[in-house]
Amino acid sequence: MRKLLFVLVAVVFSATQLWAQRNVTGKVTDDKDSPIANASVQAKGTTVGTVTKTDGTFSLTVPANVRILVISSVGMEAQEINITGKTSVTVSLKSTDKAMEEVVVVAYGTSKKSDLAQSVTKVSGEKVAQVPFSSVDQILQGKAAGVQSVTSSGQPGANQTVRIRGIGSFSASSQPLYVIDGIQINTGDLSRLNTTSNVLASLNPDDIESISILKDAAAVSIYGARGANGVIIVTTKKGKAGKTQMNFTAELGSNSLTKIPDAARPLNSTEWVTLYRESYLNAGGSQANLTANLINNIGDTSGATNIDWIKTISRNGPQQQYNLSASGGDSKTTFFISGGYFKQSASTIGADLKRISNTINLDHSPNSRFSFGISLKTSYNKQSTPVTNGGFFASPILSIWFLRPMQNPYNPDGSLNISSLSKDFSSTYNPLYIAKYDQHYLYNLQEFGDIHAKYEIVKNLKFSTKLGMQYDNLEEYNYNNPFHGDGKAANGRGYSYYSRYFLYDWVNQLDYHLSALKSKDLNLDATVGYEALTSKAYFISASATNYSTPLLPLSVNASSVTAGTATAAEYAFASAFSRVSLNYKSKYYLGASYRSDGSSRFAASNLYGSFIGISSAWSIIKENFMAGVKFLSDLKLRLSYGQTGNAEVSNYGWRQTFGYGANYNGLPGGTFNNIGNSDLTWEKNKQTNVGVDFGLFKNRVNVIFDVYKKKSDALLFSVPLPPSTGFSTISENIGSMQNKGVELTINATPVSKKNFTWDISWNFTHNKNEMLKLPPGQTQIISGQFLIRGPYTDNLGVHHAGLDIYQFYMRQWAGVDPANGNPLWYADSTKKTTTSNYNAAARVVTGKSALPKVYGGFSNTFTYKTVSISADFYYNFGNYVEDTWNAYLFDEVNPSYGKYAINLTRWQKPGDITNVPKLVYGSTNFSNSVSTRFLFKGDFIRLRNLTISYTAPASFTKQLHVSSLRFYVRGTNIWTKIYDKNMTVDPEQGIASQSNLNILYNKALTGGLSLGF
Amino acid sequence: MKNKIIYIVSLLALLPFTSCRKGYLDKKPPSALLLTDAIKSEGDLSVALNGVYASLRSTNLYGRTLPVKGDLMSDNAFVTTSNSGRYISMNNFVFTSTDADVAGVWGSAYTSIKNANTVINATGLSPTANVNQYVGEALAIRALMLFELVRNFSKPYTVDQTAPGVPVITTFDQNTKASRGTVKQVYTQIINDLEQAYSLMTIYRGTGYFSKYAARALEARVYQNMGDWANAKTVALDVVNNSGWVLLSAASYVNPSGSLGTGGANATYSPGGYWANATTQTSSSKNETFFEVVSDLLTNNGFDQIGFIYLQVGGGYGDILGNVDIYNLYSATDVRRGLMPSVPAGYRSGQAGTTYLNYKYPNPAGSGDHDDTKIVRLSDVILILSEAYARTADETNAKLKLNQVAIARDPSFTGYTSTGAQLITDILNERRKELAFEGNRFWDLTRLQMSWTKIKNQNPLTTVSVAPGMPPLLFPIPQGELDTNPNMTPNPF
Repeated sequence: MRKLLFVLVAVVFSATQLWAQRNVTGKVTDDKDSPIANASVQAKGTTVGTVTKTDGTFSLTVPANVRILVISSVGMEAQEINITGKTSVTVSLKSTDKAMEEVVVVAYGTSKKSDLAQSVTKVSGEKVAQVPFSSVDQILQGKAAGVQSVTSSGQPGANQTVRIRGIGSFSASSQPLYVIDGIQINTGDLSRLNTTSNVLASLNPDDIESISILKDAAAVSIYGARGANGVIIVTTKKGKAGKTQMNFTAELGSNSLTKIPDAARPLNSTEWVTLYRESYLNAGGSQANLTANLINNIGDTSGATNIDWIKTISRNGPQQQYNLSASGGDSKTTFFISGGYFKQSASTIGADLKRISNTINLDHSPNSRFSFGISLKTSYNKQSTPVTNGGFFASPILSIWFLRPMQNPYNPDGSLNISSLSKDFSSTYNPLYIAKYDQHYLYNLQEFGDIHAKYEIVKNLKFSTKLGMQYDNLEEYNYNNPFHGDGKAANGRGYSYYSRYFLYDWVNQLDYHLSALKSKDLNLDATVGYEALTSKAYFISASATNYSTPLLPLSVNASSVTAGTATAAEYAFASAFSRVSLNYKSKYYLGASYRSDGSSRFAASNLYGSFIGISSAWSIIKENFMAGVKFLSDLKLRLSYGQTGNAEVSNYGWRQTFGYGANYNGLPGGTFNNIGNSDLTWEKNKQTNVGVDFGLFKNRVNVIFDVYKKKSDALLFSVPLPPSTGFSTISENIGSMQNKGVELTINATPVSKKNFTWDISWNFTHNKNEMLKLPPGQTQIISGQFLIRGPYTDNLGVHHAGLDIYQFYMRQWAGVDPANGNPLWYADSTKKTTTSNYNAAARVVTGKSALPKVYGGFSNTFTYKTVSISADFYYNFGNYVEDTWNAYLFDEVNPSYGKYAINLTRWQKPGDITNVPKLVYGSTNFSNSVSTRFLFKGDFIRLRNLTISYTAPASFTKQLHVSSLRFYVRGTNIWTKIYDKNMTVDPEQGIASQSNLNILYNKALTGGLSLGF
Repeated sequence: MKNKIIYIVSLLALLPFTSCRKGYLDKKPPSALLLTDAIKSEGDLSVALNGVYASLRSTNLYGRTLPVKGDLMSDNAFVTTSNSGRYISMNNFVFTSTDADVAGVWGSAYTSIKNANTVINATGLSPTANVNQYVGEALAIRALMLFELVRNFSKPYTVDQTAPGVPVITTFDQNTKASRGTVKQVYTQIINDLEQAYSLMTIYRGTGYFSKYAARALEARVYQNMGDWANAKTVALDVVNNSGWVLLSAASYVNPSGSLGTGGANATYSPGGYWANATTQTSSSKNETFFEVVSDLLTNNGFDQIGFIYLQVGGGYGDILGNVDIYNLYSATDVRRGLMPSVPAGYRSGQAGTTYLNYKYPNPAGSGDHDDTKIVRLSDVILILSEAYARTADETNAKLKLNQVAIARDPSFTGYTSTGAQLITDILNERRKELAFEGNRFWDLTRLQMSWTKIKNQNPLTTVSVAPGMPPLLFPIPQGELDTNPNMTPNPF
């Protein structure tokens, strides 16, 4: 009955309007007077409306009582036009980019940039899309202050190490938490068989809308036990109502090797033989034996056979990517769909990555209070990874330096040489044969998505729920051929590993907004919610030997099964969180958050932890007393404190267990394998942050400056036990560490003329890591070549501060004795006496750290009319890099391998001043053993990216009936400046700055276009 | 009304969270039980015992390092200049306290002791024959590990019984900061464990496991190292007379076939017989081997298997080569010569002339069974007995036993006829020939305080003269133990 009445009223109402109406015409343009097509023209308070034609004009019949037209268009700020007494109007819309306040995605929500009271850096999607890198974390290098993103491999799809505000933990992970569209994901290297892989390589950077890097504790403490290392929130593109926007991008190019430092050039044939002869005679060998040696073990010593191993194992690797996307919808339903293809062949043979990906984001709101949607991303990666990262005979990178220049990879008839004579490939392998006949593949099928819904219960109170899922399905295949290399021993060997990871993360939250006081000047936002996350993994490992044919690498073709096992892994978090933020007149800000976390990784008695965060800000520029300060356009002071945790330890580590798999003689076996610790809990992190934001000269110059102190207590420590107990370590919450630092970002536009603009973006980070407390009774822990030392007071009563945790600890090289060419080391840290006896020299704190003192990015963009040139530099200063394969490549201690060019500067006669000792064949004087001789200054500046682009003008795109068109050429890693002439490795060697014969970096030259229509 | 809706929605939203959070977070490991739940039956105990044996297979123990050391640090072997960087400090007789191989031996031996203690100290099981057997085997393994530790890290018993020993760990306690005690205390524990093992064990389960006479054979070696010849004779005699083990014929021991081709890669060479057969002997077979640590197709150390350090077969390292003078000790009719075939110059990089290889571990590759590491063999016990007779003035029996082994390997040999000091030398030479590349030689040299010339490089020749008391004769106590255990004292190095 009511229904009918309602319809009746409506009919009556519209019927009355039919009586009085009039026509209004007009034109809608943008702020450059270009017409806007498909703009919505709506009579306010009615359902009457139309859209503009391609020339921006419209004609609309409106009821006589309508006074206001609402004009809106995608990407434009809506405008209301009073049409009282007018029949024709011209409307100029402003772009929302300038008009609307920038919004930054933060934990469990968004914030206006001007309302941020936390240290959050936003990287926009434009900066990450369409660069020739396989994963988004690689793109972050140099993009944000406080973020150290380090590669150690040129393998496409390689894992990347990211550190936010220093090294957060000693034994647990220091990798930040990644959150994609609100879902905490599994990241890192999930492969078990391949050298390296990266879950994030499954995400197409072209689908990214923005990245927020949450740095201070106020920003991350709502992530509680997982927030200690910072949080990187990736937001993917969503549909926008309005005209359907299509976008197509294509990029093609090629990868070549970055330059190998001069000191590390492999010796050519003649040079190599010269040093070999000299060293053999120096060792007391006879001329006759030398000659026999050369004939039997070296082969062609004439110099005629001179293999350039760099060229032999490298190539111009093609690169291509294509992306096509469509976005659009109406006021009720919006969509974004995309498809992408990425293929990169690295400059090293055998290193490839291919990715196909697609995305569907669909959102619908049946009414203004309720909305729901689905997001689904599918990607399929195929990665081929040569065996690298270490001294593997099968490694093409090892081949560059370890193979002699006269070890010919080809037989005289052109076939590949796999002879096992001493002069050929008796122990090391022919890398060309391995690249051709061995296989190392990883296929990763990833499904990532979520379903979500939002309901406005009452005005300003919203309930939202989101169930996200991440499914990674990794198939890995390794195959070693039966004729040469690792598979020879077993007549062919194949491994097939299957790993399945499934994660779900369910977030439910209530958001409440309140504008209080009569003036509505006091605004309150409150959020409460809970989150449940479980990750389950399942692994099958199979291997087999004895292949029936070398042509079919799958293990079904082999006769002897050598492994076939399955296992699993699982962890879960259950958490409740809440947050309140207050602001008064957008001038005074106060916020607080609380999270209670439970983790399956800790003992029942320590299951829960709670974390609080407090933030405040004062927008000083809005005070009356600032009115007179004309040069300042923004001034804001931020202050925050918060607690976070680190729970990145082994899934079951707290239990004292008896583990299986120690099988013997065909029967099952087990051992007491984990000591356990029922007191184990998370690391507690406390961080204080003070920040200032300046805007100068009408925001032509923006400065963001932050100072922070981050203290990690109850460090998850693998405390060394006396090995005589039967265990070497026990996990305990002991010790503390601190990171202190400053971050500075300056964005400026020094020139902004009509036809020419110059933009500068510079960021700078200085972080100091310091160990504050070690387990009781320990003043130092030696971890490989590093010393971890807490503060202590020495015998003389002098107090020594703790050191950073990547402090190189080794013997100090004192050069070469000019009298006899012997290697010299300093006897102790005083450097007063030297010794040629390696064992008589003490290992000391070198004062040289693997951690840089400063690093950051520096970008310049010049735009002249339609042409733009931008150059992004990355710089890193103050650390030392260790060449860890020095022992083989320096001196003639291992004379059968290739050598670095720097050996040519060896001592030859009394009086020679050099850094390379007398070469003695098979010497046992330790000249090649670990010492500061093999530490090099890690300072470098790298031109990470140089792009020249041309954007077609509107007059041209109009003729083509497209909305935008851009062409560009780009060079990546095309120039690097290093500062140590003795440096033998690339300066980028991961966080620990230790080389490990990883795939060398690529220099990419690409060209592309971007087309919008 | 509005408030009620808010209340209900909030409650519904939070309900699943509050109700089952604890159960939700209880995730159990997929391949481990709580230690307290793991050993509840005789079957469980055998699983734990298998775990102890598996730990002996570690590369740091019988998987490679222990047998390698005994020859590499003696006058039997050297690392060629063209090498993969392994065992360089042993070859060059220079150690640092952070030596990884040394730390490996220490850590893995104590891990095995911890594993053995799990079996020995298991409670709540009724003492069936099987349970007694398993505990006995674990005791023998603990004794074996203590024996390896004390002779690697402490002065020989024959030199100084009161010198610092090694920690004797009989129960697990993570807070233990064990001190070294004396060499004598360690040997007392070893003998106690072996005696107890001998009386507990009643079952022979094949050569992959300790048995009554395997424990006895080990005890003979322990007494030999102590220079306790009366006891050495008693226990060795028990083994020889009562075990039922026999030596194989020469043709069953070594019977070479094939050729070495180009030095390894194309090798079809096989020593044949006992040494080519990687199969572990079952309980129906009693010859030559008392106890060996098993590797097979499924459980082995991959490229870290001992065979690969001696041979370049199919991608092996082949770093360690034999000295020519041990090859020359074998007569042309001695079948053991077939265990040291040679390749000419040009077939082994880094080498100038003929190169002698060790073929006692010929099966690291392939799709069949892989080489086991022999720990105690009958010929060793017979030669211990021979030496015990000789040292206790019974030269007739000494020669009888010595010739039993020598003639078994070389049927054309007429036998030793020497007396006095020469007889002792002949026994030691026979031991060197019989036990070459099984990790024995270094211990004969050191227990008797002998000097020798150790070849470091053969091309060009560089050597080190080894004399009693040289610090590298003892492994340095690992830095990791010194750093964490205030009761530990270092060795000079």
